[in-house]
Amino acid sequence: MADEYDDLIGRYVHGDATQEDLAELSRVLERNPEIISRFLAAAEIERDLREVYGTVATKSVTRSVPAARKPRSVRRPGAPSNSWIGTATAVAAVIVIVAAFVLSARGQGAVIAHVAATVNGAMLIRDGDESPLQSDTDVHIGDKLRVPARAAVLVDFPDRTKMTVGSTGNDETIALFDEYSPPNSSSGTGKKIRLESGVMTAEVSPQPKGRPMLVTTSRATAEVVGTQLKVSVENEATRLDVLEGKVRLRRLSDFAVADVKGGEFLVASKDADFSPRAIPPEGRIIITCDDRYELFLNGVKLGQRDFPKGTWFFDAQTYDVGLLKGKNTVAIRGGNIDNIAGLIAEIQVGNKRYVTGKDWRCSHNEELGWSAINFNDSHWSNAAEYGTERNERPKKHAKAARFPMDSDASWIWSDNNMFAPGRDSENTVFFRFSFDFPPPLSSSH
Amino acid sequence: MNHDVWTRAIVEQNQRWLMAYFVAATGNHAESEDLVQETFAQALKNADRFDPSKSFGAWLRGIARNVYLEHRRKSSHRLVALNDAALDHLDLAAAASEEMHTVPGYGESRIDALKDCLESLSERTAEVVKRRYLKNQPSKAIASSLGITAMAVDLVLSRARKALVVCVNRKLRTEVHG
Repeated sequence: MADEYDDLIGRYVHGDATQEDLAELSRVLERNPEIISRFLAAAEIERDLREVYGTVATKSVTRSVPAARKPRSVRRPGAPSNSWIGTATAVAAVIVIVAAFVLSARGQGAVIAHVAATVNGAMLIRDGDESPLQSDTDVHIGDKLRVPARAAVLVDFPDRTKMTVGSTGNDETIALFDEYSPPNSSSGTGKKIRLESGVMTAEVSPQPKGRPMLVTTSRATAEVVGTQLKVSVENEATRLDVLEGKVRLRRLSDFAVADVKGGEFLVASKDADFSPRAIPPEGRIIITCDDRYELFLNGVKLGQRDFPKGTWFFDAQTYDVGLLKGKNTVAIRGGNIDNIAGLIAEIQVGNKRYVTGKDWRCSHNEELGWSAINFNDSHWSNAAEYGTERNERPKKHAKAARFPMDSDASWIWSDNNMFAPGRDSENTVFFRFSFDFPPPLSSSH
Repeated sequence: MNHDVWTRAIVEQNQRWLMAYFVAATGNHAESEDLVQETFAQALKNADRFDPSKSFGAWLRGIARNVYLEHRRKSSHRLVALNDAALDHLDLAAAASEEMHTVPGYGESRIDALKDCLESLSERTAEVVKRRYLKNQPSKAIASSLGITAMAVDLVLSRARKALVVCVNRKLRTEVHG
């Protein structure tokens, strides 16, 4: 057989074939069905090349598997279990779960999600073409996002599921957005995200019964009914961190299944123990606010607290958290409903204590992606200080309870912390503070 | 041998050739991974129906063929047309690959051979291959950074793959016979 089809077959097994290519190959196969053996040979070398260069999906499980090196995530302390968890645990046996993997691809090209913001740039791969990804772009079924190291893309789904693709690490993240048809279901499709490399975190809204969101990697498949989670792929290991709720993870090398609960992580690789373990806390955030706050760590919401009008003593809450290696960002939406406003917080990482002060950034505007790690806050202002718990200053009336007595944290807000009726923009302030983990050797703040 | 070990052994021995089988049939890696999983799932589910006096590989290939046909039936997007004759030929080619994978360490040997073969590519070709497989760049992006046409990139890749297939097969033959 002549070599005239090598180009075509090469494009085909790489996944780059156009409709014209497919038509041509179909004609060739009709005339010479034996040429399919060349497809297989090309597919084998394609598979091996992807394995050698580590871009795949299809890594052989017969090779050595380095231990996962990228742990880290956040854990919400004492997170309440949700009512839909029962649905997750009720999902049937392995075979049923596996059977859910047959793609329908019936909606190929349809809009599945929306890019709310991009941080530090990313690429969109659609129909084989790669182009810079803009914010406010629809994500179609079959689209792939390529997010370079130290960049992130914030993706919103119509059901309010929020996803961050990418991280502060040194790995490129590649994620494919897809859908699947559950077996024995005529009631629609489910979301399916294929993570080829890197990291994704998500706050998943409760999914329709029988149609969990699937996150697949070359090592494992996570079945998500609704929860907060993080999945990372490094070398040949997949790590799942569940922040809240429950996720069922299936290891593909032996089809072992494990349920991972909030505050637990599990590594799927050939040799690692396949038992969920508690995410060790690597840091602690102690916070309170006059009058209300929402706390985010690296773009993931940890919790919130609302105090009623007239409160004078503001109970501090403590959050045990896992941290990303490298840069971490705490972001807080603070709100004031009467009188004086103030936010006070301390971040403890080992012996290091980061406290609220004028080096925290603040803004009155809620911008897209404001809580993400790599959001550029250089145009934000420095916060103003209104006294510590030990030292009173003008405009500081609030008192914190259960806050470290020896803390150097200042009550902070924007340069105007007085409630001003009619000036709504003054009542909500957004704060950000970034720090490194592990902390630098210098112990001074 | 307990069930878990048996399952793992089955998956390890067969997932590489099954992946190539489905990539050849669909031209899509993500879909192929799903189809590999589906094949194993059906095999495990129906393990008690397997007749140990028959070829396990042939049984698994039969499942794979049905999984592919079911996938084709459900797919609305276009797949390359594989008639029965083409599927028979694919089955034959896959049988040879499946048999090779029963040799312990065959997968590792292929990868080691490929690594050696990559060393023998010209600098220019190696750069194109690296950009495609390490950086996952499409032809257009490679073409614009190297100042050549996308068609030239495809040609370089095509020749490189072909040369690598020949080189890997030669090395594996040498390993077996020499």
